[in-house]
Amino acid sequence: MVFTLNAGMYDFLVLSILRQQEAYGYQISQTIKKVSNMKDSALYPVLHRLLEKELVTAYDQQFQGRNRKYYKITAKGLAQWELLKEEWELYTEEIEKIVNGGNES
Amino acid sequence: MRKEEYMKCLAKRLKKLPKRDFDMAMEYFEEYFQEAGPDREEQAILDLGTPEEAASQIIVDIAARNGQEKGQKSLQRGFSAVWVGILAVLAAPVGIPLAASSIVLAVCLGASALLILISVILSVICVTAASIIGVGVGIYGMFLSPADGITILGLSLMLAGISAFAVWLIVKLINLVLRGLTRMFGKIIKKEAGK
Repeated sequence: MVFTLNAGMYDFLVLSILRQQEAYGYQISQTIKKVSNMKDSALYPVLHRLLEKELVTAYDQQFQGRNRKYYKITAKGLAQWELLKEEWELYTEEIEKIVNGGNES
Repeated sequence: MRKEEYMKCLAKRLKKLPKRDFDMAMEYFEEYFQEAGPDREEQAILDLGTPEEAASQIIVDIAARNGQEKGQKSLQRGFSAVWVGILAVLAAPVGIPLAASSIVLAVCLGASALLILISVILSVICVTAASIIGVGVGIYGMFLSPADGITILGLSLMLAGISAFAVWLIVKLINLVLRGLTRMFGKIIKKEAGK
């Protein structure tokens, strides 16, 4: 892939996914894969960091006789998402302006 | 490579981490393999990347967090945090000179802390022994000459107090050194990872 993502972007993407619905690690990996050629192992530190910052929580659920760890966004996480979303909109707006041509003052 | 090999290699590289971090990471990768299913083990390993890479990402992340942490830790946890920091600096894409010099610095500081610790422990042992003997002599002396006996007893108790204080002080000091080292590693790693 041409465009690479940084750590802040991964936080934003994971929070965005969890904002829609609770999900387990493998499931999140599959979604992230669509926009990044990051190795799946790199998602673990991201989730771990979000857990430590209390932006998400995790709980275990049995599935077909084994354990699945589900991740869920917290109120703090939602607030952080709002912040990142605002940043993202400002950023993409500026990018758009540059990409789509110079008639901006 | 098979899943067993992958997990073994990962475990080998992570075993120096605190138990909780180790368990959490191993669980995550175990679950990942199970989600992928036994038929797609090969694909799962391709998707995950090498266990070496996975391990260094995990270690670097933990060391960066340790560096920011505040508050008193037990000596054991303090040593473990420094150790994770050294592993992380080795694993992170830090320039060799920086990595080498920070590790040499850490080893020197660690060695001097250890030497100070040993000498203080020795002197504390001596002072404690002297105070115990002194208490005995003092009590015995009270029967011969009460004034001398009580003086010796008092001095001995004072020595005992000083040695207790010295122990407390040295624990604090070592903690401070460990915290400093952990923070230094955290900063190096953050700087490099942020590039």
